[in-house]
Amino acid sequence: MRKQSGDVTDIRVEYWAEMRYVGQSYQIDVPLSEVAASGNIARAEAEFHEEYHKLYAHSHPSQACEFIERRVRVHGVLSPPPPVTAPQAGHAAEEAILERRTLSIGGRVLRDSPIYSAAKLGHGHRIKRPAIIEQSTATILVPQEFEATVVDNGILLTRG
Amino acid sequence: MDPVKTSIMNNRFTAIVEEASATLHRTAHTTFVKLVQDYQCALAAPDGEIFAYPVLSSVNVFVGLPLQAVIEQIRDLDLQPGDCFIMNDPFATDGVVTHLMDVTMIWPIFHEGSLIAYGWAFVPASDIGGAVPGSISPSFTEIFQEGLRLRPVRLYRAGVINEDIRNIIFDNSRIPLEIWGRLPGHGRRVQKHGPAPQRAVRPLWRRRHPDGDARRDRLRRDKGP
Repeated sequence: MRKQSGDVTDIRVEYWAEMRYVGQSYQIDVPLSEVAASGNIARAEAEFHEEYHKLYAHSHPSQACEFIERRVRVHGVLSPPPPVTAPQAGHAAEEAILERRTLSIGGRVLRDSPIYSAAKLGHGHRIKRPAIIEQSTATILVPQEFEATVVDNGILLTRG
Repeated sequence: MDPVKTSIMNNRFTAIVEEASATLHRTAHTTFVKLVQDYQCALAAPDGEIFAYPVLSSVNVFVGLPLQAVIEQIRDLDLQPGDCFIMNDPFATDGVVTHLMDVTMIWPIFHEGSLIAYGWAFVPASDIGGAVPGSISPSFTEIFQEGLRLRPVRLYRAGVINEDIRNIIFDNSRIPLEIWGRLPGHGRRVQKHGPAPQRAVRPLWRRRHPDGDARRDRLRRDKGP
């Protein structure tokens, strides 16, 4: 795993077992401790009873249980990616205005409210409110009581 | 009555029985439950009318099942929290049970000392004795050929099992360990889910909703028989 990526900072190993009481039709996933996973069957069974109780509100510690499958899951932990910093926009926010419409919010009629294109907004832009910002995936309303700015990583931040 | 609060209570009661039903399914010891989904559980008012019934899995034809015939037999028997009655006789239960293989349990649910509901559940036994293995044959001419008959009898008293009843079941099935593997499964689930709905119902019942009884009755009326 370290060979695959030089960025791996830590490796974590999880041990799991699918277990059930003998005769049952369904098994449950039991996260095993290292002690149980190293071959301590009694400990693994105790952890099964405990997990079963957690899930179903009852358990039968005197009944025989069985292993259906054992699994190991290995995680290679990567360091968080560095923040993306967008350059300051080289144009005025007004250039992102597509059109103006009449908005009706809470019984108030607001004429000539700007409709912005999110794709044309850049770092440092401040939105005149009330406004609507259109994205390909969402439509954002900026009411009069809110202030919207595009912060350095390109994210739109609205504050009430 | 506030319809919003009534709806909240309806959702709460339904969530309780759906969870119990899912647990019955996932912890089953028999293919009757796993593959056929022949099992169910519900909550009934003290007079025996069911007011919360799961719809997401298993048998739904018992939704209007009247439990009155059984309730009348057990209600004066000094019921306590942790009690559970077991039965499988269609005649003695006036049709609460439809055939001997459907081992049924009914248990009282209390809140602050007063009976507020009954829990009901059944799981089929793969063999309950009788003339043939599996207990079912088209050649039977009377119920005695189908196996062990139990009128409502107390399997648990205040959470303690009645070994005599267990021994009777043990001695009358061809696969006693297998049956018992699912009955206490069933029984202990019932025991656990008896208190579980109590825990769930308790905060909703009288503390926050002083008219819990009225709400339960309203739900019953809305759902109809």
